[in-house]
Parts: sequence; C-alpha cells; structure tokens
Amino acid sequence: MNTRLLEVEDLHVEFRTRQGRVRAVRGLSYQVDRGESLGLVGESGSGKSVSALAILGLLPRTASITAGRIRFQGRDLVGLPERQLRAIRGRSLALIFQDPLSSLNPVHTIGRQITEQLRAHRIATGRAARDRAVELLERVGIPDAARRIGQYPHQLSGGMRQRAMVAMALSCGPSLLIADEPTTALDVTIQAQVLELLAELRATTEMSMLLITHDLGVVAGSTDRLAVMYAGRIIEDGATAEVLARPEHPYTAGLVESVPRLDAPRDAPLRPIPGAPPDLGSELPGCPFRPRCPHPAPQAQTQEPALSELRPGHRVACWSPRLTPLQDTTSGGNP
Amino acid sequence: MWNYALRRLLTGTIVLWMVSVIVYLGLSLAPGDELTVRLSPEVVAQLTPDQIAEKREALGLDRPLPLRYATWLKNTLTGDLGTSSSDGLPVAEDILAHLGPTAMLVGAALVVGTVLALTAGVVAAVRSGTAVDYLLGSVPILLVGIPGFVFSLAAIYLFSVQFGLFPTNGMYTLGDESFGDLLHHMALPGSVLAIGVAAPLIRYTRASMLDVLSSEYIVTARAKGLRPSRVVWSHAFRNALLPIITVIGVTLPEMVAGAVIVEQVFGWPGMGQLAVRAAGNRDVALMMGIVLVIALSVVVANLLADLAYVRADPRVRLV
Amino acid sequence: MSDLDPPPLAVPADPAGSASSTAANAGRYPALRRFADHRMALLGVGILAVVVLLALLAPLVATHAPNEVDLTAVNHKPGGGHLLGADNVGRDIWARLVFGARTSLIVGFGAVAISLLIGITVGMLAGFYGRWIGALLMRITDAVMSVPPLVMVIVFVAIAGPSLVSVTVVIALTTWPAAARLVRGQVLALREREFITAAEVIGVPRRGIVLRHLLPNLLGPLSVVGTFGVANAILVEAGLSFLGLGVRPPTSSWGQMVNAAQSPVVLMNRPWIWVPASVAIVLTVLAVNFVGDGLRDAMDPKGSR
Repeated sequence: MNTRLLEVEDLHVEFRTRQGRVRAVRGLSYQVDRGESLGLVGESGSGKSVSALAILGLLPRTASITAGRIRFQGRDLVGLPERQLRAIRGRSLALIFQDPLSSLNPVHTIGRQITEQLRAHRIATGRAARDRAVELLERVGIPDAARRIGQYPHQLSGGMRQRAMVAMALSCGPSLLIADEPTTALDVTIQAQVLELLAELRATTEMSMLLITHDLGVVAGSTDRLAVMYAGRIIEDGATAEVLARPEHPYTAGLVESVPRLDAPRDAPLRPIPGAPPDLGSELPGCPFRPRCPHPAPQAQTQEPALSELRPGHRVACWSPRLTPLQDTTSGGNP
Repeated sequence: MWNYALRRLLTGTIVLWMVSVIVYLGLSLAPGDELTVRLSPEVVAQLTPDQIAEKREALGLDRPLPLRYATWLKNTLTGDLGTSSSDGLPVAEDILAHLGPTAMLVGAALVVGTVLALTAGVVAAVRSGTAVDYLLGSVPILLVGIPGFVFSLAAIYLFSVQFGLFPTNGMYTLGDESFGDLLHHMALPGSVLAIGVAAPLIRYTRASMLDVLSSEYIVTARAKGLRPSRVVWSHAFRNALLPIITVIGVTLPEMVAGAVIVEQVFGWPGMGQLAVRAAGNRDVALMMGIVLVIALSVVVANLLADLAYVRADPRVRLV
Repeated sequence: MSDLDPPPLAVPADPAGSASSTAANAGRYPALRRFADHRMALLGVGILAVVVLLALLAPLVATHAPNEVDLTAVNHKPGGGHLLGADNVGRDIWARLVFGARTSLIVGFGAVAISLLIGITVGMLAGFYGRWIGALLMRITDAVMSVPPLVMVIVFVAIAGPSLVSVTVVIALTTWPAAARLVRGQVLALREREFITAAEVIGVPRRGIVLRHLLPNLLGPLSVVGTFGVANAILVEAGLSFLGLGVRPPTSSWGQMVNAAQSPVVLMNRPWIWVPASVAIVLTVLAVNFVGDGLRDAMDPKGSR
C-alpha cells in the first residue's frame, strides 16, 4: 500500500484575464506522504495558493487546469466529477485559509458552521453534531466552548477564529490538512499558538499537512520537508532542516539570507533578493530566476533546468547550484 | 435590539411630525384656507363675509400660524381630519374605506414582486455570463423604462381584451364577493405592480449576490464539501440579503406611488383612486389626510425593514 | 416606475482617479473614453439627440398646429394629411407628439436642475454645519423621502394649480433628497480624510480645501443622479398628465395623449391615438437610462458587469 497520500504531478494552471493568459502554475510537482508535513514556500504570486485551490477543484471560473495530475489517495482529482470531489472536500481533504475573519461566514454562528459540515458528510446530526462541535472547539483550545458555539465570528478574537477554522477543518477527520498562510493574518504570539496547535494535532492523529507560506520562520519549526516554489514550479525540495541549512538554489539561499537575524549586529543591512518576481503573463525562456541570479550558468539563458537529486533526498532545479560543503554542525535529519 | 427599535421609532415620529408640518404649510397655501377644509367649499361659498369672519373666529382661525397648526395637529391626532369637499363625508371615513383594497393590492404585489426579484437576481448571479443571466439582466432594464400606465394598458389590452382571461377593472364582480373573484380581479393589477416592484430589485439583487459570491467565506463553504444549493442560498444569499433589505426600505415610497397609477387604470377602489379624485376636485382636506396616512405607513414599513435588518445581521446587533 | 439602480451612495473617494492600468483608463479623459465604449449609452445619446432635435424644431416639423381642432378629421386613421392620425377632436397626433416632447424635456431637465440646486445646497449645509443644523436638515430630507413622490406631486400641483412651471417645481421639490444625501455624504467623508487635517496643520483653511476637492469628486456621481433624475421626472410628469392632473391643454403632453386609452374603444380600435405617445415615453426614458448607465459605468470602472 502506497504511503503517498497526495501527489501533484506536472500541474499547469492558467488564468484567462483581460490582458491575456497568465500561466500561474507551470509544471508543478510535489508530494505529501502519510503522516508527514510538507512546507510549500514562495513569494506572493508564486502560485502556491493556486495549487491548493486546484487540488480541491475550487479554482475560480477564470482559471483552469490545463495539464497534469493530482493524485489523492490513489485517485486522480483532475477531471473528477463534482459530486465525488464534494465527498472528498471537507472530509478526507480539508483546507484552512489565511484570514479567518473573511473566511468565516459572518451571519452564521460558529456552531452552525461546524455542524453543517458534519451533516453534509453524514457524520452526525442534531444533538450529536452539536456535542461534537463543542468537543472540537475544546480540542483546539477554545475555552468555554459550549457558549462559544452560539457566537458569531466577529465576537471572537483573531486567534480564536483561526482555532475555530481549524476545528471546522478537523471535524470530519481528514487525512490531509492544507493550511494556506494560516498564520499570516495573526499576531506573532498567536501565530506560535496556532502552530503549536497544529503540531499537537498532528502528533496525536495520523493527519498529514501541507503548509503553504511565505514565511521561512513558520516552516522551520513545523514541517518535515520543504519545497520552494518560484515562477509556478518547484525549484528546490528536501528535508526542511537540510534545505534551510544548505540551500542550493540561489533563490532559496536568498530567502534564507534575507531573514533578519537576532544575532546579527544592529546596523547590519537587510539583504533582500534584488529584482522582482517574473511576470507570469509572459513566456519565460530558460531559467526564470536568471535575471536575479548572482551566478547564472550560460545554459540558463535558453534551457529551463529540471529538478534533479543533488544529494539523497535533496533536489534542485538549477544549472549552477551553490554546492555548499558539509559543515561541522550536525547534518540535517528530521527534527 | 429594543434600544434600536425605540430610537428608530423616535426618529420615525419626528419624520412624521415634519411631514405634518410640510402638509400643513401646503394646506395654508391653499385658496380659501382652513375654513374650506373644515366646512367644505360649497358651504363656505354660501356664507356672507360676516358669517365667514364669525366662523373663523369661532374655529380659532384668526390666531397666528403656530397656534392654528397646534389645533390642527390636535384634531388630526384625535382622528378628525376634516370633511371631504367632494362627497361631504368625514375624511377619516373616506380613507378607512379605501385603505383595505390598497393594502391588499400593494401587500400582495410587494410579496410577489420581492420573491420574484430575489429569485431571478440569484439565478442571474449564479449563472453569470450565460444567456440566462443576459436575459434576466436586460429585461428589467427595459421594463424600468416603461411607465406604469403604459404597462397597465398593454396588460389590459392583451390579457383582458384579446385573451379575455381577466376582468378589465373593479375589485369584485357585482353580486359575487367570493375570495376567488377577488383574486381574479386582483391578478392583473397585482401582477403589473409586482413587476414594477421586481424590475429594479432584480439588478440590485444580482449585483449584491455577485459581490458576495466572490467572498472568501464562499470558498470556505465550498471547501467544506457543501452542496452548491446550500452554498448559494444558506451562505451567499443570506449575506447578499442584507443590503437588499435596506434598498427595499428606501424604495418603498416609490413602489406605493406606482400603485396610484395602477389603481386608476384598473379601477381598483383604493387610496390611489381616492387621491386622484381628491386632486381632481381640489379637495384639500382629503388630500392632506391621504398624504398623512401614506406617510405613516411608509414610516412604519421602513421601521420594520430596519428591524428586519438588525435581526438579519448579527454584526450590528450590539448597536 | 423609475430606474432605481443603486445611485452611487458610496462615492469613490480617490480624487485623482483610479490607479488601474487598463487601456480604458489611458488618455486625458478616461471617463469619457469608457463612456464612449458603452454601446448602449451611445445609443441612448443618439435617441435623445433625435428627441431634442424634434422638440426644438417642433414648429417646423409638425404639419399642423398641435391644438388645431378639426372636426372633419375626428378619429382619423393615419394618412390623408395626418401622419399619425388625429384624436377625438381632430387634433393631429404627430403635431401633439413633437410638441409634447417639449413638455417632457422641459419638465425633465428643469426639474433636475432645480432639484440639484436645492439638493447640493442642503447637502453642503448639512455636511459643513453638522450637529444640529445638519441633523435637522437630514430629518427634513428623510421626511420628504417618506412620501411617495407621485402622491406629493399630485397634492401640491392640485394646490398650486396645474401648469408647466408648477409641475416642474413640484417634481423638483420631491426629488432633491437624493442629491442632498450624496453631497452631504461626500462632504462628511472628505472632512475626515487625513490630508485635510494635514493641510489644516499648515494653516490652510479647512473649508477651502474641502470645497476644492469636493467639486471634482461630486461631478461624477451627481451627473449620474441627475441623469436618472431626468428619466424619473419625465415619468412622473407623464403619469401626472395621464391622470389628468398635470399640464392642461393647450400644452401638449405625452401622458395626456395616453389618457384617452382609458376608454376601451380607443384602447382596442384606435391605437394610433395612444401608442405613439407611449412609445415616445418609453424610448426617451430608456435612452436617458442608458446614458445614465453609461455614465455610472464610466465613473466606476470596477463595475460588476
């Protein structure tokens, strides 16, 4: 029996806009195994959220999957009839979003938003559903859950709202939780709490997680593996600790280096990556990162590099990877 | 919420009071002034100037304006709206007799028209971009440009005369006071009025729905695996409804105005017809009474709409 | 029935125009470009131009005088010297039609002009002098909005006596609240903007700034409100005349002409008496509505269409 839970294979997603076609996702491939947590990192506009929506078949009408496969629990979700997709959504595959205030319906109580999901998937109804909702809220650490059930989203704080969303996502016992920027809209302290919650939930269930974020700090502590996205595809992936300690792709290295460090001298300059993300509405010949690359190889002009295994478990799509030598610190293993 | 209700009631009362001031000012501009209102023009025409002066003094009509207004207000509040000059009956009586039919017609048209518009608007928004949407979107545009009387006449021409489906006018057929007969007579004017209510509302509903459908919580709802019908009605529509309630409240007076025309064309014995008759006879007392009663109902309806809004949107309940 | 499309109550607050970079926003007058792209609006302008032209040239275009009673041509079908036939006292329908256009247009534009004047004044006062005066003015605005306009018009025209002027003024008196609310809202919004405070700090008088920024921001929404107001005024005048409570002969009015159709004989057998005027009203109102739609879409490029 395959341990592969989710496998995105060579996915291409296109948007039709007034200015023409925008290819947001260009040959994206990543996978999540049972019980593991994958971090998908990239700048805004790199297409990472689009891939999450594509998995669930929730792309807006202006977008479409033009090629590729999305295998979940062995089935290809691309082209799957709507009814079957609906049976998966919210049940074996759950999704939580960035801004819990706008992601929750303002005119329904929290309780109702949970119980309707339970009812829709025939898990529980009536009294049993209500009890289960209270249980779930308690599970995610919301105090006084029985009272909160009857409250509306605007009556909860930001952190509690996100917890409520997590509760909703968990309600039907999903195998995979996709969290799209779950902490971006929250204060740093609340961020930590929510990440802790997610870690705890994963530890006690067999749930896998796909954590989409632009914040390296978030992936560092919460994920087993890391995949870096640029211009619609993966340009580096591997064990999180390994990739962060020895980033091979200049973009990944740039990301790591741009994070301000507490132990750097006070007046040390910030080190952003020069240039700007590419325009996904145009064709990008060769390696899309070349314009910003500090050491581009000559082939990068015309040929797009493919993902190849540089070290066991660590792949890079680059013509001139940094090839950082192994340092004297303990090498990367799963934390 | 009761706090809010009380505050709105207070505002409504103030508004009504202002309407009464405007009305009274209009009254005092009328030829013959209040005496004609109280005693009817014919009676006054037969009095000698001395008798007129006497009467005026007796009724306190030689006092300054604010005092006269106060008296008039007192009378109005106790139900004495003066006498109609066109039929000699107390205005209050005239109005009461005609209130029922209008309430029935406008009430039915409001309900039917609103349900129609909401449904059409939702369907148009959900199927946005398709032929259905185009149809549902463009028909109201055309309808809104057709004046009520033209629409009514055309309806009569088609359905009463050509197809003989409905009676051309009146509320009941002589001798038959059954409910079925009433419905039969109400069908055409009611439909015309309902369409008048629905036409502008469809576009508004569609716009509101489209706005809501692009919200994040709709994506969440779909991501939960809910049925599309549930997403559309329980989630999207429920939110889109909020601004629509406000719009209905604001456009209420306009809808009532449409009833005046419809009643006239279809010979429906309601307030509209009464108003036209009053205007035709320059029956000042009657006209003023009608305006007050209509203003009262609009204020009450607006209050109800506001309360409905507060109930529907949990975010404002704490106000 | 008039167009109740949501008037721009939420006014776009950006004085310099949106930062959108689509082609439609290029050029010196982006709004004008967008308007020109709107096919229906152009059609509306075209129809309106024809109507205005006919109205202006009425004496030249009409073959008869509009009030010329000709008892030999009573209820004459179209033809034989009468382009659209004649009515029950032999007056030429075509003549009445083009002269009736004058009535509709005068009332339509006149009422809106007066209504905007009143509305802008009230709105400004209410916005600048908040608190008591503002609250009072807004209550009055609410009061006026509470009564169905047609009813108010009927009543006041009956009091004041039916004439072109009284109809125009009375319609204006019942429709100014829309403009007032708009202006007041905009004044209030602008007063709170930070750049006002900033300018005040360096000594620029508050009123001056607000006024300077007010006008450009108001131009758009007011023109939309005004346009729909014209359509509304035309419909109200037509309705009033239809009920026999509006302008009286010798002035012709389209509504008046349709009045005859209340008689079943005319309705069924003499369509030329009432159909042309009906069509004229519908076409004119639709044309104005299309122009209003075009203006509204031109002002707000992020429309939902």
